[in-house]
Amino acid sequence: MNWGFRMDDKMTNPHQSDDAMLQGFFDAARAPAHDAEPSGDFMARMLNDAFDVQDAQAPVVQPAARRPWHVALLDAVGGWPSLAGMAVATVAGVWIGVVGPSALADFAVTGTGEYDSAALASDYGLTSGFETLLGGS
Amino acid sequence: MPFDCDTAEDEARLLMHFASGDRNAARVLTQRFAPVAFGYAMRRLGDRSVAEDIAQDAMLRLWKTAPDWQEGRARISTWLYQVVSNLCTDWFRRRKDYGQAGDDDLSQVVDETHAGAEAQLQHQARLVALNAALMTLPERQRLAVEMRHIEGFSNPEIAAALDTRVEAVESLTARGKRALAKVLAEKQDELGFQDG
Repeated sequence: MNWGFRMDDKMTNPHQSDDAMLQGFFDAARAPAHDAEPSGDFMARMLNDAFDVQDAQAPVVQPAARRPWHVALLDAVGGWPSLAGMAVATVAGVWIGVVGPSALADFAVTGTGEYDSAALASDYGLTSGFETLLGGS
Repeated sequence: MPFDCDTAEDEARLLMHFASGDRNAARVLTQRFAPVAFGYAMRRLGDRSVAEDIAQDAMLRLWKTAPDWQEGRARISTWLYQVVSNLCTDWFRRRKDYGQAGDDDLSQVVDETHAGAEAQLQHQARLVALNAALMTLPERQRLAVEMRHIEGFSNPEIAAALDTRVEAVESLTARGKRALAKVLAEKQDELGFQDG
């Protein structure tokens, strides 16, 4: 047995190049390997490995915890500072409704227009001007 | 979403999708490159079971490097070849350390000559001798020679894979071939192969 090279060739050409010798080895290594098709089992294992690595590499995402309704409501109105403001406004509204402070009466009357314009002008010292305007010639 | 896998950019995009957990990208990459890794290993080893183990190891390394894969890097095929080749070389070395490979395998192959099997034995003898000789080369010379003369990659592809210039690849392959020829010629004389 030899490497598969014809020895008589080498004898007739004793200076056979290294390239020629190597080429025989490279050709052998390039020859399609017997039964070189991957099996279905192998391919399935490769795909399972790929999925396993993907699962291991995936960032750990914590599932969003269910928040109680009152926490969600508090967040919706802007948190505790907003809630405190709303509470103050509510208490003030109830107090005004129940007690009816006299200091607010004037504003209420003015707001509802129960004074006529002449009385209002008189209150502010504009009586004469109004009279002039009203044709008091 | 369908994926192309024709260019380096396609490959980088697929690996990016893989890293983000895209199952379809995993399927496309597996179907495209697992047979490639297996084929490389089978050509080097000729042993289906070992070739499957080595290809599996190489593919795992590809998956783990996916998040860090940079576009413009070597193609997956040349990257895989380097990994498979190094794993095969490690396997040969381990076997040799345990007295199970190298010259022992070659002697066994040569001794088992029987009618009708000579061509196959010659083929195996060449593979064993070539692998043993390749193991004597420095890693980059070995990879350059294997990729150029066995797997048929172009010099620019090898240069990209080895992160060097084309001229350096030419130098690596030339020096590698000279060293291989010397080792194989000595082995031929040492084992006293005779015609017939």
